[in-house]
Amino acid sequence: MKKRFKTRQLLALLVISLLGFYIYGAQSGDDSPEYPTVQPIAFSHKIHAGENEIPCQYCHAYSSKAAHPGIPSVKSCMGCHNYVLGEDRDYDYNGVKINFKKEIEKLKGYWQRGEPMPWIKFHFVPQHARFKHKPHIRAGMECSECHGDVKDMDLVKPVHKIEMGFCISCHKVEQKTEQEMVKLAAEGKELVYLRDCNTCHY
Amino acid sequence: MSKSTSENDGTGIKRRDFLKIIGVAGGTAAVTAGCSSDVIDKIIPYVNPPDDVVPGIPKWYSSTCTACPAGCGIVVKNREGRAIKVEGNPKSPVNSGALCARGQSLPQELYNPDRIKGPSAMSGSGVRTPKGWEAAENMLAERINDILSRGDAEKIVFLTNHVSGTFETLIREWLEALGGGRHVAYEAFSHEPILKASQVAFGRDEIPSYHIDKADYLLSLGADFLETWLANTSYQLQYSKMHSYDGHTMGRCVQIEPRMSLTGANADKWIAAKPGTEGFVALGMVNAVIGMGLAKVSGDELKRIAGAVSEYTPDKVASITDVPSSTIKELARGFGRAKSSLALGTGIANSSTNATETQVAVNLLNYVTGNVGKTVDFSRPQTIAGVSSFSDMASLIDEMSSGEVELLLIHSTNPAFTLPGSLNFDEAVKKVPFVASFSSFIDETAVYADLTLPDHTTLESWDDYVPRVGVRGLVQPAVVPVFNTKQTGDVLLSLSSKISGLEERFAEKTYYDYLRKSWEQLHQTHSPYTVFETFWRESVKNGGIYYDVEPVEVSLSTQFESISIRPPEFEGSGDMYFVAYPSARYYDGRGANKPWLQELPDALTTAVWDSWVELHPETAAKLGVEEGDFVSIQSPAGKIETQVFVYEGIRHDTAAVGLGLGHTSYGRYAAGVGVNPIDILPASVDKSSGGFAWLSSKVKVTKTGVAAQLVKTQYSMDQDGRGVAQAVTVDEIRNGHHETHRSNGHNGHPDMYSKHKYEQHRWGMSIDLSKCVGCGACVVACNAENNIPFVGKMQVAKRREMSWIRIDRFFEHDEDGALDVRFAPMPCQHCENAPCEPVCPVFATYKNPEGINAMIYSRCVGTRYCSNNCTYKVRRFNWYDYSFPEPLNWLLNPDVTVRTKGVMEKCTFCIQRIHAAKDTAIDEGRTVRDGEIVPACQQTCPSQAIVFGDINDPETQVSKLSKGDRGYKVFEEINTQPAVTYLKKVKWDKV
Repeated sequence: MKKRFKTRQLLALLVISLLGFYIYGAQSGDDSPEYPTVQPIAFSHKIHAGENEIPCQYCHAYSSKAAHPGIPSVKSCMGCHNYVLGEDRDYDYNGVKINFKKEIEKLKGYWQRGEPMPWIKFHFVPQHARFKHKPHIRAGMECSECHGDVKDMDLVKPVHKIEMGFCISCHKVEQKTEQEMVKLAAEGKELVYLRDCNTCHY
Repeated sequence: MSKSTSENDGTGIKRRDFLKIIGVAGGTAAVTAGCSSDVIDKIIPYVNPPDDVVPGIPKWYSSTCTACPAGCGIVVKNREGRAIKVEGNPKSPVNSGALCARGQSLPQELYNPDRIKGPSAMSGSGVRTPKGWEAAENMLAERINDILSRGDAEKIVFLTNHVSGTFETLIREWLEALGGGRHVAYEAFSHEPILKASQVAFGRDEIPSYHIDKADYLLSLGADFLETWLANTSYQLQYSKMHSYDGHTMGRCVQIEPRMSLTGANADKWIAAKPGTEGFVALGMVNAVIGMGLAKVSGDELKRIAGAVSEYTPDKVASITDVPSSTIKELARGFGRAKSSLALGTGIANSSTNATETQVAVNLLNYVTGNVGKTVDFSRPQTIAGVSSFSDMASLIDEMSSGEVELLLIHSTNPAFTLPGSLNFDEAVKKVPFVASFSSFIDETAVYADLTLPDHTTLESWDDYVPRVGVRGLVQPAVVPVFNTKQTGDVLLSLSSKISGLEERFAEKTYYDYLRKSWEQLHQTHSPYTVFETFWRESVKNGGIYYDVEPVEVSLSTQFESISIRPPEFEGSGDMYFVAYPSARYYDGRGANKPWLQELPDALTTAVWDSWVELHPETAAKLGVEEGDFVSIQSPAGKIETQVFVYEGIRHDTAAVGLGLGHTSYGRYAAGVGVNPIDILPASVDKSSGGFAWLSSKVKVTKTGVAAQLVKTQYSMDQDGRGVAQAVTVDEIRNGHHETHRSNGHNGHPDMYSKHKYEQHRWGMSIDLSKCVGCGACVVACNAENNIPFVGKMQVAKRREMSWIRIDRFFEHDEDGALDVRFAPMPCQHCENAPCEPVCPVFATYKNPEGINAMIYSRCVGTRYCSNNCTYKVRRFNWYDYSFPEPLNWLLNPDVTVRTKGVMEKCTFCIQRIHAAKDTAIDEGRTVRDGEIVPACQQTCPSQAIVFGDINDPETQVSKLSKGDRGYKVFEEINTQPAVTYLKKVKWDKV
């Protein structure tokens, strides 16, 4: 009798603690926070990458050289916008009404004050993982494979949640057999072990 | 109740089930807490991007280390504007890419949280008030103008450390322009006896360079050439070449000193001569060498020398020195017969009142055996000879006390700490009406400054430095200044525009221009056929200029007729000789404010963050003290109290304390740590040279009755026959009489599990114990590369130190009872059958496909089972979130995760470097080459004991070394099959 009572007590404790975790989970909820709908400047990838067909790496110049793709300096924005002053015309930017000329004037303001724009980061990899752009570009991947069709977006938002499952969705071990990997090695290509946690986590 | 410890403890649920439930719940919590990402981050672009900077790709700047006067070349790794790592410059002939622990710690000087943040003036109430640079310089200029108007220019004194090169020229020209004033360059370790003895014996005012690598037989009379002596990194490289087993033979080394230093611990034989009598041994050897007909000089010279040493027969010397005459004869025979030999001396620790005479004896020994011009090289003299003498310093103090110094300018030197207390520098400096300090830290001297004008640290400065003839190193800034500091050269130039009469004296507005101008002259001599700009850029890129020199003929001075060594004189009525020895970690004390050096275990004691006194076991027994007991050490000049370390490597009648600690100021990491033995040294001098006699007191050691734990990282001295650090004699290895290791492990029994398959690489390492001297440079390099926190004395006392590689030290004994000190660097062994792996409940540690025992921080839940099960105890647990006080955190390596509380960590074989090398290889369409991946420990090792590479490829250097017959694995019998192979230390059966 006594024994059963204790078991019941412990089960109750377990239920309460699980409930606690559930509530905690509900509070933190979905990992994605409420992002603002406008960046410091209503920069449109649709106009730049889409309509004007500027290649991604023209602005994100380090994607083929380093881990981080880099974002353009204020100076490199001004490289064009010294001349491209923008029409005095309204535009529906992600549901917000903006004026081209006024937005470009904001950029000029930053440049004149010598201040960087505090862009809001939409794509990020958690601190315990190390993602490198360079090998992906080297392997001939298109930016859109991970970032979606940026050229159709005014305000860029992640189309894929950047987390390990997404990485693994491409980097499946089954994609390459052991023999294939050895063959790659024989061709002088280093093996990339995506089944090895240590490739990204160190 | 006692039953409740059984499996079913009466709660109605099995313990195992309970653990499972808790495990699941805990895991959920960790996952939920660890992976949330609900922070909106910003990306801040450059406004105006710097040229050629790709974020994420480091830039390397060549420079010169100034942590000691050796002048090693360095390259500084800059990531996004921050200096995160310093490595040796492979192009420098001084250190050929290696770097000692002190050099590795340079970034902790740059980003030290206790640096002076800007100029300040002392107000009447003793409070430092910040000033702008303009105001501060005006204050000093006003003073100088005032002094000049009174015609007192010669009452201005510029006190610096050893400077050689352009800065010295600027000081000289600047003082000349003032119309007087004098420059005193003070170094605590000035080696005056060596200088004076060169003059006596060879008529040369020079300190020569030494070529240890060219000697087969090395005799050192107290020279700690592996620690601080002259150019220790250079000598460690040479010693490694000379004294490591090359498959056939190796050199011999004998060390004579009363206390076995780290250098002595690495010698084949340590002879504890009576303190201060090493010179007699040398003369006895000269006598014996001549007697045996082994002298390499002849004719008149031989007669002169033989006459001079005739009375120093081995028998007579034996009675003075406590060294048996048979030993002296044996040494003489070995030394005289060696193809090439070298005697070094004298060290700082054994410089007594007869140090010059001792050194003259060393010179004679080298001369008689034909070493001068071969292993003793006067064509590359060392510039340390140019520092002011100890008597200059003493007379400066006299002048200061008597009010003859109106203005004292102090740069990069801390005499209040390094001068013996009995000289009363502190009192004297208070009498100087105006003291200006250029120090980067409020050290014991800077506290007296009326005006502080903080200089840039090395990694922010432009300068040059000449350590010896043949090398002129350039110091180049690797980062922009961290604080509101200004280079002293610039201060002097801008001051001159404010001093009446000096306005037009210097055409250059900045010290950088001044430096370039002085290099224009070098351009004429060294590279006249190139454009200056090309010469300059090449020099900056290479870290300076390195050039060949003509050999010089040196012969015995014609004035040399006789030698007589006075016996050393000791002050004090105590019964123990007192040795204050230079610290390999703190040098003369300047390293004490770097936490990496404080937490680097001392090589011999493994103690951290404190001082100790070394006593022989029998002496300790007689005093009734054991390790950790506090004793008081009383000399005529004062008293210090510190803990005992019972050490076999010291004479019965000697007590030894290391220099460098006992700061009362100098920042949070230095102040209040340990004791300063200089406080109790009398101001005795070497009779001939006038240099400070470090070994000149006898002390009384008494028990205080207070005891505490002496905080160390290794408490056992003995390896209990477990064979961690193994050794073999030359005879055994030649005759094949030693056990070679079994590559399959476990006596060839079959394994239960199938072997790991390595498709391409398996990373491994070999560590040659015949090269390793236990210096600890690898430990600091690893700290710097891998963001390893320092934890402080209290945590180390709880065995919570964090270093990923440690140096195991064991005291073994030879058959004749002689102490045999063994060192074994111990990183993670990356075992094939790693005991840590199967016990991890969350798969946070596992064998990666290239043989690395990987540790995934984000998976780790902190059970510490792995550490518990680790055979080699190389796993470290983060008990806290360890802090890196701003701006120390600036030197964190962005390529390595900073671990948080509750996570296990360990050596990764510098996996970030493996990834980087592979990346370069793929860019170039090839696989990684052997030797391309160099972990931080191997990179810095001045003994070149560590080799890393692919052990899956039989052609790599590491594979070949590992398969050699000296190779063994630690604890091979338990079948962990480590990827690290040790090569046995090699010893001579008889020296």
